[in-house]
Amino acid sequence: MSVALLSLILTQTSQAAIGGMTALFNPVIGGKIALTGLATAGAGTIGSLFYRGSCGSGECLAPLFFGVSIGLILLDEANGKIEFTKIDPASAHELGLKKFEVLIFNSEVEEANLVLSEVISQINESTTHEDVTEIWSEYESILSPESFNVMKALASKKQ
Amino acid sequence: MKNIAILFTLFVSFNALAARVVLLSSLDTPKIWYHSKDWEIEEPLEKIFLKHFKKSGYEIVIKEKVDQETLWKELHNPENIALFWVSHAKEQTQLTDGISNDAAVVDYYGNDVKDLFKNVHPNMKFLSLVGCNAESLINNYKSSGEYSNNPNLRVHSFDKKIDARKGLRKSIKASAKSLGFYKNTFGKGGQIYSTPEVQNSFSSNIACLAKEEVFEISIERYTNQAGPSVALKINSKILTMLPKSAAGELNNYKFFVPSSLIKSPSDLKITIDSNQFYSSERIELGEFTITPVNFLGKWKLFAKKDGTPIGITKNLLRYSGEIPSQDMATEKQIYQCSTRN
Repeated sequence: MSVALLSLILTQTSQAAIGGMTALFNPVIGGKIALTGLATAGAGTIGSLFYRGSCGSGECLAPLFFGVSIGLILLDEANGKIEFTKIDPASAHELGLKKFEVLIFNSEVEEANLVLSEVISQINESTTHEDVTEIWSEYESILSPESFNVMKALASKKQ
Repeated sequence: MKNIAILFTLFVSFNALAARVVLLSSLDTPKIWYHSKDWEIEEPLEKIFLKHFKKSGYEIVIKEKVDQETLWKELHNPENIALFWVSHAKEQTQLTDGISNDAAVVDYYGNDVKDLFKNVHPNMKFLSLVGCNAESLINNYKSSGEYSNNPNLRVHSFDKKIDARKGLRKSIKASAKSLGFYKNTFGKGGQIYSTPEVQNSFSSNIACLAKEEVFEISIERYTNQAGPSVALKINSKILTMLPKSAAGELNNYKFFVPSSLIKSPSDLKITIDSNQFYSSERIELGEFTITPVNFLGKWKLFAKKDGTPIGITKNLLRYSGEIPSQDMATEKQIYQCSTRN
């Protein structure tokens, strides 16, 4: 629920602090916020990534607390970490990309993830949507234009 | 450091060189209302393990709050026939094409040690990952050929949330096929027993003697401030682990890249990874200089214009040069056959 609310805030007022407390402790939320900022760096829409399954909204915590209260030590890592992964070049067209762009992105996916980690590390409770976009623009020249274009396309892809 | 190693050598009098069964746990104990504040999850885990293996004929090794260096050593210890790892874990979820919420196996110190499990000594017959939803991870490693040098290795994990003690019991039971047999004695619970066949096949295994074509590379690490242990990786495959380093220390190491891993120059990109699962602050890993021993090529840090490394928990060294030709490779025995010489 809190995740959905975060997304709602984003669409209503980009000046609002979008991180919230969850971003400080949950790299998944930080990653999603970073991707949203990437999607809107230039053209693009705010993705619906926020709605996808994760423990970010706390749904994983309920069974954890329940488990501990009855003595179970559940070996569940509740958080996660958002990362780019290689894409099948055959799906380039579906993403509105060129095959050579995807090939370049695939060869630079480690670099893309390092940049993503830099951006996530700079997101906190007072980060605004504009801030995230600004952070991404600082790193844009570090990556090849093709890779950056693919990253934007992935972040803005509608689910 | 609370990393207390407890070594139990039980029931090995008939065979001083008994294979080892190893329990490694690395997790924090949550507060449970009906346990005393001194109670720790390691106590019941040790009891379960001892109870099941005390008559097995195997040497029993139990270590708690294990760090990644110890895990790496135990995964490569030629005397280990089975290893049971207990920690928190999660499976990968694909959020969309090209973006995932990555799988993780997180230890007591907050390190994601999943990549360590890609490389296991060929003597190992059973590897258990007791953690939630880690089955797909370990099965993927097996199906993608990570254990091709060890066709007899059985892996075991869980595709659901699992309690540490229940999971360990289940994994121990599942290990019986690889380690001998399981006998359930009424009122006394189950026991694992080894068989001469299993012990003999373990001690006569010569897979460790296999040689691989490798490229030799040296690396110098200087740490201005204390640096953590780091994994050197190519495409997430760990080549070696470098130990922790004190402030002002300069160390030189050698490592070997299997030529089979190198298909293009980008395959020689080397990631230096603290394996820390998440950090909002940059972890200083040190300054690294990589030099190929018998081929030409250079590595350059992926960094900002001012030289600051890009990456919070890991650094990347990008390779420029040709793929080294096969005649630059040398044959090397990668695995130790014994530590008891």
